[in-house]
Amino acid sequence: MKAKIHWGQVILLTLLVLIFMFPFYVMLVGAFKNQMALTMVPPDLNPFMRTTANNLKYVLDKSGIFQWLLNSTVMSLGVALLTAFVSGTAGYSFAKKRFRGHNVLFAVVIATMLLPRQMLLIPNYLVAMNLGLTNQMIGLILTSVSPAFGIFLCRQFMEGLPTELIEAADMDGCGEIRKFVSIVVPLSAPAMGALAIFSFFSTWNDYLWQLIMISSRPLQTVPIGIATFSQGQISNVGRQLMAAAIATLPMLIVFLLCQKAFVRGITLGGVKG
Amino acid sequence: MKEKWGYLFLLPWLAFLLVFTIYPFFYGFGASLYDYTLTRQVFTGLENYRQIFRDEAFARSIGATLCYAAILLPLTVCLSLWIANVITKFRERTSGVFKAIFYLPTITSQVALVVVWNFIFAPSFGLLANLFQMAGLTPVSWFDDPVKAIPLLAILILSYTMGQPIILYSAGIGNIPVSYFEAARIDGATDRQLFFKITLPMLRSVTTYILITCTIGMLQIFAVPYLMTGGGPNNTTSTLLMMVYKSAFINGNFGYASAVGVMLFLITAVIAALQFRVMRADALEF
Repeated sequence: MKAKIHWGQVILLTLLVLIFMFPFYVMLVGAFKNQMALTMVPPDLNPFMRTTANNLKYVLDKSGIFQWLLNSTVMSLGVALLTAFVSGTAGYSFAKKRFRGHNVLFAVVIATMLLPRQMLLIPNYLVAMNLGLTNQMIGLILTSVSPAFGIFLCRQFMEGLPTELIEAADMDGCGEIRKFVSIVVPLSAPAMGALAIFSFFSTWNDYLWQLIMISSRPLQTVPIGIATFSQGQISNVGRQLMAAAIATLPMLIVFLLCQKAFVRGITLGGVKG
Repeated sequence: MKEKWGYLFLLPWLAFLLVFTIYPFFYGFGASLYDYTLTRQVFTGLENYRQIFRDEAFARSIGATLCYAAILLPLTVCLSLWIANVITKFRERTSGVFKAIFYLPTITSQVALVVVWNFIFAPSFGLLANLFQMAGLTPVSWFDDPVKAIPLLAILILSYTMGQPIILYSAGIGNIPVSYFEAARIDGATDRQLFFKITLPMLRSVTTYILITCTIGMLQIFAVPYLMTGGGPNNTTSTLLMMVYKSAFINGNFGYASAVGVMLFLITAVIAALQFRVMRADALEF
């Protein structure tokens, strides 16, 4: 028997939903309006009348949005795969291996989890610069990997894997690496998949680091591209909204397809038991 | 010999840790003692730190960061708990839809959100300004003074800090055995009592975890104020992270920026150390 839902709660919840959806409504409808419609009193946000595809045409032709999307995809995929690899291997070690310094090293994982990488913004940049990693894709990927949360997540999950199963492979003369690749990784797919999707999204949306690492136009990613484009289109809100909408759409689709993995990724790390 | 593989599997992580965390960590301390620009590095000892304590922008940024946190932390926790508590009463499919809606701003690029918000809140031609005009009111210029700007920015930021807590609380509420509620109901407990005597105490560890991740998030606020106010007027809406960015990449003063970074690190470290203890006892088992 669940608690009843009150009228007041439904009204307040509906109101909150409307508030949350409103910016997305403005983004989507505004993207198909010209400047006049958007700035007149009252503003015209009627999705069925006086729409125009001019903004779409302009953004597709003039903005380089495909390049941004491509760059962001390559970068985020690279970071997601590397994060899954680094977190998977380390998480496995912490979950199933016994070695000296185990607890100390795991405390380091937790410490780096609590101290986000933004704290090291400047030194990270200076080190990246000295290593020649700024303003190029490989550097962008390498410096964006932050596996602390992932290690924690993988360890939590892998501790639950049956040790007998992994040891049974020992008897069959299975090497350590094969054991990891063909037993541990497939069994941990839910955790590692959730982690990969998670780091994909956080990389995609990380504005600050990309802002300082990217200085050349061909390397611009979605957040950088949108921000630069918007600043150049101050007097044309529709174009800005169109660019924002196109950038949001792929993420929305991925999110809706992987919603289960999201919930799993969030709850695995945060809920005990 | 058995230990060997334990270390070998840690190797990729250790490599990243060494190059991109530990080395920069000490490098940052070092750089903060220099007059460090891209063209010259001169050792100046604690001069950068002396400057920080005279720097009004630094004090203002700390103040603003605290203001954001003071508004955001309680609102994030209370509102997401309220939403989770209500949506979990619906059928699973329905509550899934609600979770997706409230998670939407979290997956959307903050830059894209800012584009919309800038249009809504623009003082001269913005959506809200036009609506105000329609109602015969003078449009509010939101970003002229911090008394209006900080709460507004905080509320906007709130829309994407709530996504994760709502999912966590929903999962937490789902983990509470239904029999607890049933037993309390039979004893005649009201909805209010159910919430405060069962739901809330059972969610203690989730709340701790949310408070920890949110506090860390507060110190990372950058994109929204940076793109909407640029920290102005007069640094009153600037966060510490924005100050680090500006000192280095606008003023070219990497030594000073490193020193501010060290301060930011110290603040975070103190908070993290406190949280580490609470978390160990409360939220995570290790």
